[in-house]
Amino acid sequence: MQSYFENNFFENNFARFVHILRHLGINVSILETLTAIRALTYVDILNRNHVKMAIAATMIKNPDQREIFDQAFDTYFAPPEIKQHQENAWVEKQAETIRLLEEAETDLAYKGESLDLSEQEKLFYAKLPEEEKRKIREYLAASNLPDDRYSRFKPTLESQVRGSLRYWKQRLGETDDYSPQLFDNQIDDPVMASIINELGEDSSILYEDMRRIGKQDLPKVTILLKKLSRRLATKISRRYRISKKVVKLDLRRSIKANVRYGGVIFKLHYKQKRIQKPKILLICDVSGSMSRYASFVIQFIYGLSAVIKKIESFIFAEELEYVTPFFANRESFEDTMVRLIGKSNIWGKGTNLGAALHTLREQYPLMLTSNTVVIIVSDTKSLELERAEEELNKLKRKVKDILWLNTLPQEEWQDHPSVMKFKRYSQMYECYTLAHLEKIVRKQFLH
Amino acid sequence: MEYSKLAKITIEKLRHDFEEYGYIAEDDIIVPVYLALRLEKPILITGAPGVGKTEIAKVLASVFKTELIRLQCYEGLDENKALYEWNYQKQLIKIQLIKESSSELTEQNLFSHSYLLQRPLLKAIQAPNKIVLLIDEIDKTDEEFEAFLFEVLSDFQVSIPELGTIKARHIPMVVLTNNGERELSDGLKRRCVYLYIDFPTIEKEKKIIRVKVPQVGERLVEEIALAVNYLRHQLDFKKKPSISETLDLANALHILGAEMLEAEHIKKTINLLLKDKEDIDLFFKELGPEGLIENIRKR
Ligand SMILES: Nc1ncnc2c1ncn2[C@@H]1O[C@H](COP(=O)(O)OP(=O)(O)OP(=O)(O)O)[C@@H](O)[C@H]1O
Ligand SMILES: [Mg+2]
Repeated sequence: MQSYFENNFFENNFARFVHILRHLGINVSILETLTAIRALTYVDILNRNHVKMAIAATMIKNPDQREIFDQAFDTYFAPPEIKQHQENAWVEKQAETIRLLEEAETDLAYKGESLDLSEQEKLFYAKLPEEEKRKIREYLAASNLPDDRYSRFKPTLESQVRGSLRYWKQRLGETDDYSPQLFDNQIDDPVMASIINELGEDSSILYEDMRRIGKQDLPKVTILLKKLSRRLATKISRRYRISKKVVKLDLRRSIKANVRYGGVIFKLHYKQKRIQKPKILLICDVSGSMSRYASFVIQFIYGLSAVIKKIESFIFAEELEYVTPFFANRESFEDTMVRLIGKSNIWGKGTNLGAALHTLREQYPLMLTSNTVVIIVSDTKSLELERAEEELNKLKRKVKDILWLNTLPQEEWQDHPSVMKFKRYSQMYECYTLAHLEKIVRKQFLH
Repeated sequence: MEYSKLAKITIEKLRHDFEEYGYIAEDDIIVPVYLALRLEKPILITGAPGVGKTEIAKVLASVFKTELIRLQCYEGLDENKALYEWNYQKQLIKIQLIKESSSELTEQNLFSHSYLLQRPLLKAIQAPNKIVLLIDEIDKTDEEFEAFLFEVLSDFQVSIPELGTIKARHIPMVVLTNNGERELSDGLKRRCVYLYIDFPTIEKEKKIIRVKVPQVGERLVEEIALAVNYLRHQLDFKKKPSISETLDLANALHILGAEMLEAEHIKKTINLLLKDKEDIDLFFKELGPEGLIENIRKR
């Protein structure tokens, strides 16, 4: 193991390690990489623990990333036997993928020629239950048409198969035993595959669709959400801090400017300092279509209220309800949720965003200022789209900014006119897992 | 150990010296500190309040027998308070005097060294030897100030328009602390060696109590460490008790003449551990003194 360390450690391997970290969402700058290499000259390179600490101290600047880093380090700088094991597992998995692809290509063919489907679609097909595969095959067989219509018919068939795969994907997506890991074929490196595989459960919950998270995981989710809410809050206030003129006499400039008048101070100069934080206004959709996200939504309000004093929250479905007081007492999450659902009249009803925003504008005008940042959590599905769009536009003009956390997967956005409409008046982000929220907090607000 | 011996320090020696000055640290803390010294880079220390961030700077100054210059950050802190300011009163008096003697008034005689008020950053840059510069609770300032600090820490020189550029003779040992109230900029983080201090393990906390409150008997030491650890991990407090709170508790219990932890003691001293009214309510609602005792005795 020692020789392994000595021979490979520095140049090649280190760069590759940094590359892997980047894929795991940890961005390390060149300056930091160089510093890390320099740091390694000051520790005993044979002391694994010190090496690990030195790299962490110079490259990992966010405690939340430490767990991932540790896992990556342990896997990457593993003894050769273990590395061999990783390689083997990888090769097997690759072989399995190829086998599945071939199977799909043979099955999904029209007149001996494979349909033009994406790799992901093919893999999805191969992993379907035999019963469903058979149905698709039979459908293909039944669609055999005379040769002259061949070229025109193939694309239609392809899109039908694609649609049917998508249907299955959605259906399976809603059952509990469906595993999202099954479909991640983007991981192109044995070490990375092994790292992701071994990352603790705590991290995998990040990638779980929020509506599928079970009750037993709620405490963990609450903690994560609290952390994320806090970061979101500080990011927002950093980004939108506005300058309120706090006037302070600038004596230096005053004295300088007045030297020429023989020291009599004629003209006073002032300087300004910025302080004020923005107000946050949260509007969450709790209509029927969002009901599976209800606990996520409430957790989100709960988490944000814990860290931001100046927050006002509303829920809406057919109408708008003011809910700030429910969160002000800091009761336990369960108590809050039960009380809220008990008192609310709109829970699980239809959606009318336009009506809700109209009420907001009419009844709470003082909350809408040029210092207010509005966060909307919703899947955009609403009645009276035109009205909603108009109201959103009006809201937009009154406030600093609107951020929209959309629980619909981004790939579906183009199929929903509502998304296209509302996107014009807000900054919209895909957000149905904690990882999305994390990414929004980490990336989107940096610039 | 003197700063001139910096090149000879080792991880072992540094840990030993830290302990000599009452700071208990394992490699997870010592290695980053050691590297910051070796690389001559600022160390950025993050962690909950009271886990021993500020203390590191103080101990460094003791270990290297050098001065500690402290810049305490707060909302609204600006360059004038951090770097330098002109002594306006003195300038105004001078102006008055010159007028009376009717000699000539120029900018040069008003903006010279004798009218300069040195604030911590300038003091650190002008120090005749290598000092420890503690920039405490940087998250309390705003981004504008952070950007300014970033500049200063990049090249340790400042230019004062009236006087020219002043460059540090020795790069100070810089310690920045951060309570995590807001995220710091990537630029600043990149420049620093990073250290996150977590709450201590039970063993480490016991050692700290022994060093800081040596009068307390072993049984009580053990039970205090267990109790605080239990509270931190089992209840969701707004503000978890930290090492400072543990030490306050240990001192108080010693004064009360306690030899072991009892429910009665906890009732009397809980407000030393928990500072927030809601946290105290939560404690009595979810656990209570008896519950706490029962749980630590179970172990
Ligand atoms: N490892 C340690 N060994 C000995 N004493 C410690 C240790 N860590 C912390 N302490 C003691 O705990 C107390 C709090 O430490 P310190 O003031 O450095 O905390 P801090 O992290 O700077 O807190 P704050 O964020 O509130 O400023 C001090 O009395 C310090 O001596
Ligand atoms: Mg401190």
